[in-house]
Amino acid sequence: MKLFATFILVIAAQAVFAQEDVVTRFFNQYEGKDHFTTIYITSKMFSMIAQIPEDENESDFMNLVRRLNGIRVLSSDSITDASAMYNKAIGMLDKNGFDDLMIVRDGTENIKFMVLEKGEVISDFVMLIGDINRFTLISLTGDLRLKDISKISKTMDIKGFDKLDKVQDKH
Amino acid sequence: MEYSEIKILLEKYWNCNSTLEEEQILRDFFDRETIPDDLLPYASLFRFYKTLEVRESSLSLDTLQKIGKGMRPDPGHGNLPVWKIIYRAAAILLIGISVFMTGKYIHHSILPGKKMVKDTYSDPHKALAETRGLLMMISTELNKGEAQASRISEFHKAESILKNEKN
Repeated sequence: MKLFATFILVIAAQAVFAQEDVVTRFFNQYEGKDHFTTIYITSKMFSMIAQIPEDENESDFMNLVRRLNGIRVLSSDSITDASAMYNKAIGMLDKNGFDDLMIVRDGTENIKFMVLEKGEVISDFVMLIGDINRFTLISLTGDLRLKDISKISKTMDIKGFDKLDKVQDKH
Repeated sequence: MEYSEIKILLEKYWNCNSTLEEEQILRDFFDRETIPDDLLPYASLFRFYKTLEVRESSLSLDTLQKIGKGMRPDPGHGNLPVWKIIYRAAAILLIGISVFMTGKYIHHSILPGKKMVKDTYSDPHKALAETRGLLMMISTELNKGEAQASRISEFHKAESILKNEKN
């Protein structure tokens, strides 16, 4: 009986002491600080999005959205040393299982794509942007595959801009 | 031993002034059968002391130690041979690790989304618009990266063509 109780207690302790994921930890360090904005779209919101009546032209896009269950954005336009923060984020993600996907350099802007993969599934897709005074971290969580990532780069075109205007006009 | 001498020795004894040999003399004296009447009360005392005298044992030291060993519990390694201790430690360690690993997974299934995170938008349409905007930005940058990558591969292609032409 004592052994059973101890067993249960130890498992319960895991609940208290188990670590949050690295992106959450990174957000916790900067959220609420001056000049930082955050955006959260939770799984609850995504399930509501999934119920929006779909446009036939948009099925690719909507199928993609259906694979997501969360978006988190952390951004700042005025950081004194954005590259330090950019590198710090890369370091933290790297240490916690994230792999590099792509690096893009555009003038002073450094962009890195990193993914957290569990087998075939990408559970977290992160885009990091580091410019002189600007830093942005975008995290897409869900049930993604690499082909979904390439779909993102293909289906998003000017057509999308039209739809965006339409959505805003509705309100 | 003269009676008077004994009396002197006794006085010394009561005053704690007697030597060890004098005490031995007293013990030997009272060991005899015939003791003067007025010294009788002390007889039992000194006879008792006599019994406490250490005598040569008829048994050897080895035998005595063996007897003693049988009576005393062997402290040894806390009653356990070494291999048993190692097995017990390994078993406890294994249980600990497996509980820890199980706890990790149970935690994730019992408490998903442990931190209550506030949705920035309350309107799903706005959220969808924001999602679209973000995906568009991601798409643009991904395409930029792919363009850069393909430019590099073009460069390598040109390079190898030139190399071949040289030869």
